[in-house]
Amino acid sequence: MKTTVIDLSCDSFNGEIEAFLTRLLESDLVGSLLVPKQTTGGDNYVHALIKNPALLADTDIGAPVMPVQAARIISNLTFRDPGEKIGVVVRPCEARALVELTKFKQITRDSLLIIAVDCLGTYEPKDFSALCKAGKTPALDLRKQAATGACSPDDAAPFRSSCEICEYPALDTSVVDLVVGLWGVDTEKQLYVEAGDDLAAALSEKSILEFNDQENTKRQEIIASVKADRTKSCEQVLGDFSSKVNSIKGIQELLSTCMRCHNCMINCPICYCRECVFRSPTFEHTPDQYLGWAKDKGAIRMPANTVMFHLTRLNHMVISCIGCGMCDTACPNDIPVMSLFRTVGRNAQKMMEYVPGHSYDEPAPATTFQDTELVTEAGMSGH
Amino acid sequence: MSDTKFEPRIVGFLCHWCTYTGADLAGTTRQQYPAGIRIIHLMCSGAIDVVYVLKSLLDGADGVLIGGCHPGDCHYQTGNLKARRRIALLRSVMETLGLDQERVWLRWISASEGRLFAETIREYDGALQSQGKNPLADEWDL
Repeated sequence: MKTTVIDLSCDSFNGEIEAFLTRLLESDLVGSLLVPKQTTGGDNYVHALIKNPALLADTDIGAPVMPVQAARIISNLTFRDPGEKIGVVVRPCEARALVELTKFKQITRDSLLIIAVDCLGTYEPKDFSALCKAGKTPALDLRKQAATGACSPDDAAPFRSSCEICEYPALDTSVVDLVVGLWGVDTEKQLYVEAGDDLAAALSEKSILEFNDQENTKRQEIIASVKADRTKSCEQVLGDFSSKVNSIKGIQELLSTCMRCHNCMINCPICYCRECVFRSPTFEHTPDQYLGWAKDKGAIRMPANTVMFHLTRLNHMVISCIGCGMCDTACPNDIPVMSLFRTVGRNAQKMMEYVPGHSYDEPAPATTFQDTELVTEAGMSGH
Repeated sequence: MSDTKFEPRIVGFLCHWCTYTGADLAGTTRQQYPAGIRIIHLMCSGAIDVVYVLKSLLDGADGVLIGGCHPGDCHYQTGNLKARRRIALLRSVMETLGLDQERVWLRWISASEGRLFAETIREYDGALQSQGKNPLADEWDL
């Protein structure tokens, strides 16, 4: 791995990054770039697929908002070989979802140059919009705080709950190609980048970015302490939550306001199936079937199968849940879906000895097995 | 009604090559076992999607039995081992959410084990008798 600390030659961090991305896009290393870009309305950032370097204006690689999980977009772009290399700027949870989708063959990894940016936290899109409309600069405010590591949200809006308990505020180059550091970096003066040896050599050779092997030890210290704090709050939050959902009554209370809109599923980067059982006629029953169930139980909740929907989704993808919290953001009735998935997920992932998003080489648990395993867990001891 | 004995209802998802054939053998050899099992024929235990196990339980089945070939005997080589992973995961999810894991059984029963099939159903029936009726059977809000 190569590292570099570069003094800003442009007037701002964004200017420096824009210049770097322009050189990258004009080179033959990528044919296009997917970068968060300010919307015309000015109160949001969305990933834009950019071909013309002039349109790199108003991009911000660290904008603290995630209206759509980029892994979903990247899957759409690369489930087949797109025929050119696409440089994608993602935050750690998006990169970790990319790892999972690569294992599910929903991403052509070879067609990507993945640039991961340290994540300082994200706001709900509506909160981010309100902050922008109030004339604030949430991205810049957070970046200034990143130098000391004490990144707190604006007084007017909290971070998304998934960010508060996220143990992955930054990645290294094991699953991505290039890392842009923000934690512990004085972004008003400097840029900190890590890259794999081959990419670093190519970037230097093409005069896109010089690697001077300077390191930033402060960044590592800050990341370690943020991770420790987050792990602690995660334990506490999920511990409290798990005592709320360890009975059918708890599950019923949790899902009380669910209206089966499937937004959590649609926005989940891991729920990739193009033919989902819940979007098929499988559970569209005939009137006499509904009436039969109503007769058996005396009454049934309509639309039917709400608990079944969530329990099935848990079984289908919780092993690969990377905790990005898009389900929370997507839920119109504020059901804490992410907490449910992380609570169930941490036990299931522990059982399967699997850390989602950690490595391209560890096979997804559903795609593999061992001859003698999980006998007790499957309830088969002595049988 | 109160004096009638509780007869557990079991939904059985049985693989074509082993357990389903074993159940057939149990019948042709006149093995006796409780009549509360409703059998659904699958080509392989590895073909089970847990959505149907969950649907059975949430609709009020007292138990679900998934039956497959012994390890090494799977007609499709390893479908049963994939089923074991899936059921282990299902039981983990159920445990975290405080749902009764013992309402899901996975068992290996071969085509020649008609007697074992009957014994398994008797055993499961007995276990469910002591566990009692599936409380979800009376829940409308699911």
